[in-house]
Amino acid sequence: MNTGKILFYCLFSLFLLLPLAGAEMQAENEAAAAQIQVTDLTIDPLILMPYDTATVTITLSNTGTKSVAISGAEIQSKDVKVLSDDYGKVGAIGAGNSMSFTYTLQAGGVAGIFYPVLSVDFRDANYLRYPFKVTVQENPLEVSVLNKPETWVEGKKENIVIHIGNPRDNAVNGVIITPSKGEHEITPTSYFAGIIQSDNSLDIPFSITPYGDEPVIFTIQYQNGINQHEVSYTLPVITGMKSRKQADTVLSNVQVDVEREFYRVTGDVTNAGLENANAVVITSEDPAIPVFPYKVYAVGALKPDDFASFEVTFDADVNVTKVPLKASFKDDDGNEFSSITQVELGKGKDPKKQQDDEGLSPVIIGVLVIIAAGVMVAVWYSRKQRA
Amino acid sequence: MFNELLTNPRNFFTTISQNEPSLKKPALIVLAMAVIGSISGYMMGELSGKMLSGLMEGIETITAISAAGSTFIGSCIMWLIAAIILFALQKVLQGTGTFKRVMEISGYGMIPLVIATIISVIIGAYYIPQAEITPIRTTDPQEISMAAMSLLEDPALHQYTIISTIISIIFLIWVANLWSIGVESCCGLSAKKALIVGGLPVVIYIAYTLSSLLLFTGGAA
Repeated sequence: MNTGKILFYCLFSLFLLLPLAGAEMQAENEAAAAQIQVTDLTIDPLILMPYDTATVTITLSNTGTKSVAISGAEIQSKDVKVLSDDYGKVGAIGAGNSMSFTYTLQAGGVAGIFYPVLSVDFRDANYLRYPFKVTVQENPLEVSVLNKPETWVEGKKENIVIHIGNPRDNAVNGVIITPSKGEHEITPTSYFAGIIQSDNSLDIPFSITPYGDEPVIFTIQYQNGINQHEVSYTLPVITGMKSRKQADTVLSNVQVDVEREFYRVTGDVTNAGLENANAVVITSEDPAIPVFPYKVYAVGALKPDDFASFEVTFDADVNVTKVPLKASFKDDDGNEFSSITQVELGKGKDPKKQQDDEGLSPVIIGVLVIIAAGVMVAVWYSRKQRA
Repeated sequence: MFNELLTNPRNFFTTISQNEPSLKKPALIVLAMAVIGSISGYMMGELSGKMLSGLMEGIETITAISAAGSTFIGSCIMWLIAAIILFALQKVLQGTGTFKRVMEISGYGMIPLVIATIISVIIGAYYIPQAEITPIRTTDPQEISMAAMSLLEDPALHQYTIISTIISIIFLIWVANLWSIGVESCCGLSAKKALIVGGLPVVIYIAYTLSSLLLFTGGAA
């Protein structure tokens, strides 16, 4: 056998053996790739809202004894949009090592549960396809108001409580409540509440002093992961209506007396409301001119259904027939309220005029004349006897 | 007897001049006048007490009782003073009456004042409650003085003062008449001198009272 033939047979045999060796190598690679497992998967935020962006971090671990080369890794989904690029030619995961892949996803406009698939392409081996759950929930924060006053009184401070509930399956963070900056006085001007856990709620007190009828809009800003959201709550404020519980001063048993140089009005002031009336003060208003000794009568505090007597003195022109009496009081927050009661003076009761006009009545003069005549007769009679 | 004193005083005094002077019945007359007069004193004192009620609790009763007591004692003193003046005048005019006799005449002669006092009490009961009193709530002397002035200027009290003064004057004329008849009958003075003895103190008193009234009312009465 010549050398040429021997070489030919050797090459031919090698050629026949090559496919056998390749097949054995692929089998080994597939066995190695089979040891790649998804050991961790985190989604932040855990529950998305429509159009929210989330980051998904998937950790692959090689639990085998051989390194596994990865040609590429990508997430495939029809319902969730993948914003980040695919991973291509990431290299190999050594035996016992892990590798993390982070993707940015964006939820669609529909709420529901979706299963995007992580597809990992191994070199010289098969694919790894790993579907994972992404939940999209539409539930925003729920806002309501507690302790709202039944009626708003202009200038009277009222305390309300904003109640915020989180009906979602995940916590929201960065919660800030901001009332609208209108014509009202509202404190605090904003409130940072931080995190609200799932199915938890938060009560935030606000005090509002209304000036006008502009509604108060509470804007609640919060974050779901990195996504900013907000809800608002409109609190209607209608002033001008009398509070049903508010203190109410009523003047009764009013008596007008004409003094030498002024009018004196006495009576009772009763708190006909359901709240305390503090610093109750009674005085007369124009056209009356308050004069001493009781220009102003300070009654003090009146509890509901309490009453106290008052006395005011004033001067007024002879033509004045009615004088307004002003009863003012403050509520527990220091807001001042007042009411006007018209008091009739009657005609021709001018103090000075009355004083000047009054003289001895004809009856009295007549009696005096009769007495004088009687005495004169008695004196004349006694003198006459002597004569 | 008192009827005779009022209707026929000359006969009454002639009769008593024949007896020893006795002060029992004149004292009863003065006592009656003092007791009745103290009623109006009580009412006025109570009114003043109302003005001061803001300064002390129960001051109304104190001032009322004080005023009533003062009026009572004042009436008794008035009898004594009148007797002294009458005695002095009749002595000056050479009268023969003893002091006891003159005091007796003075006491009997004051019987019209009992009637005057009764009328004054009735009128006071009508007018005094009408007075408007502003209680004083300060110890400032100026304010107390102003309040006292306002009390005097009260329309009701003003009228009461005028009426009671007029009544007093009317009945004092009657008193002067009785005194002059008594002095004439008991002290041996002529009618003219007796009229001077009985009339002069009353005229002086009336003049003083009228001048005070005019000063008080500013001539508006």
